[in-house]
Amino acid sequence: MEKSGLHKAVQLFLAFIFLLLFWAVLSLLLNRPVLPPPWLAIQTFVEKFHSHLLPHLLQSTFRVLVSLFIALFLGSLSGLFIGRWSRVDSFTSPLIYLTYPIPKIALLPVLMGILGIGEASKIFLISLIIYYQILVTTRDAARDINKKIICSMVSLGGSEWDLIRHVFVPAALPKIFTSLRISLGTAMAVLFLTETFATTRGIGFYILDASMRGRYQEVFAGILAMSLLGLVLFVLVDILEKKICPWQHI
Amino acid sequence: MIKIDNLAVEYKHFNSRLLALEGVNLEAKKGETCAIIGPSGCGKTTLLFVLAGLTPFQRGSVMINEEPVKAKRKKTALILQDFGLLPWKNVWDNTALGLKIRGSAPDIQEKRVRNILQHLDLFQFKDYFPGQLSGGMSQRVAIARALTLRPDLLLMDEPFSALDAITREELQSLLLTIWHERPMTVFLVTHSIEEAVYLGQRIIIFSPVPGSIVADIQNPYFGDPKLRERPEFYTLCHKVRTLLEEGKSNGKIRAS
Repeated sequence: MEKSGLHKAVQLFLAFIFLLLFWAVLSLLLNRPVLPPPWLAIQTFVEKFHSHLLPHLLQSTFRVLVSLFIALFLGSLSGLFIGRWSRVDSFTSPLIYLTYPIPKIALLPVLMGILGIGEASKIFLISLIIYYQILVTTRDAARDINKKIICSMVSLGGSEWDLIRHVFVPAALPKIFTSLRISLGTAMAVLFLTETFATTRGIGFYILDASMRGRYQEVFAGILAMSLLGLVLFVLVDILEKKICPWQHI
Repeated sequence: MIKIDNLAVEYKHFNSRLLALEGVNLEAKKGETCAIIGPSGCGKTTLLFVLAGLTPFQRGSVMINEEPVKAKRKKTALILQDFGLLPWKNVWDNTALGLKIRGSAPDIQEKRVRNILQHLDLFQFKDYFPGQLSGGMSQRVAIARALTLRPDLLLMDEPFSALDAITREELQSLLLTIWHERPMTVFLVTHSIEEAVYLGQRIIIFSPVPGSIVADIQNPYFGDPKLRERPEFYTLCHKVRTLLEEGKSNGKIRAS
């Protein structure tokens, strides 16, 4: 591991210890079963990981990954399209402004009515919410391209496709990664909510089910699993960004 | 090589119109270097962009090698003040970009880029990104990229104005060396009287907006790498400065 990577890992570990300490102190002060101390939650997490948590975790990972891919693909594609061509922009921007603030999570029951209670409605909802965040960021990135760079590309003989390939996509990439990082938090929150409706698989369901039964150690084992998923995805996005956008890290 | 007749360019800005250039007549021979100088906003850059085929014009005609000007002319290269490099491509890829876009064969790309980077002392920095380079080096890369296209017309928009004095003089000398090795028609827009005198075979002075040519001076000292050390350099600089000031205050005069 390179020096900066090691440094980051140590920082992450220290932050983890700090959070555990905070949790332990809070739990001891509160002294109620609803907030068990971290060691009990970790113990349950380890005990239940293979038998109970893993299948739920895999299901949730599948949902969130598929949703992220769909949102990323469609969001960046339409963002580039809208940002590049001002005529499309003037038509679509009012539409985005009108539909962006709609609390899409409230559409879950409607979506279930249309798409069924299976995976489609959950994935659609998570994708839809993240789609907007990625779309708006990519569109703004495409709008903000330095005009001089476009001039210099055209003078080199660049076609529209060359501009998209050599200018718009790479210019938008770092911003897409930033919006992906922000969207991850949203995705995890929406994931939890969709998994508390009409399903028996997924970490969200596991947490809700344990909470109904008053098994708070399991609730926290589930929360730990979900946080772990979020963390792994976050680190993955970081690694991908460093690989794909090396000029951002010089 | 270049023939501009009665050129006028107008910009629309909301409901108003701004006449940027009016009645510009200019001819330049093959291999001639023309330094264009004038007050800020006089349309110098507009003229350059017209020659690059990037800005449309309303009146007049612009011919390059007896053909009407067009965008994406294969032998025209443009170098901008802020270099126009792509921050996400390293020195090698930025240099190869023009060739790549124009569909040159990979082995030709490889050979030309390698030669030019070596020639401009950039080869050891081929993996660097523009963000890791100084202004002078970035402009060298922009020059390298332009030269890979083997242009017969090189358009430069204040290429050295963002650089410190020493680097600026180094690059001015480099440009002169390149031109001596391979003469091409050069249009150099500049704010610097010294630069115009050092690099212009002809020094073309523009009036304030709407820009038109107020003077067109032949520079008999052009091409001497040590020109800056000669008293004639300062005499000519003084003459250009006087003409610029006169052009600013009373519109049009003619000199040769």
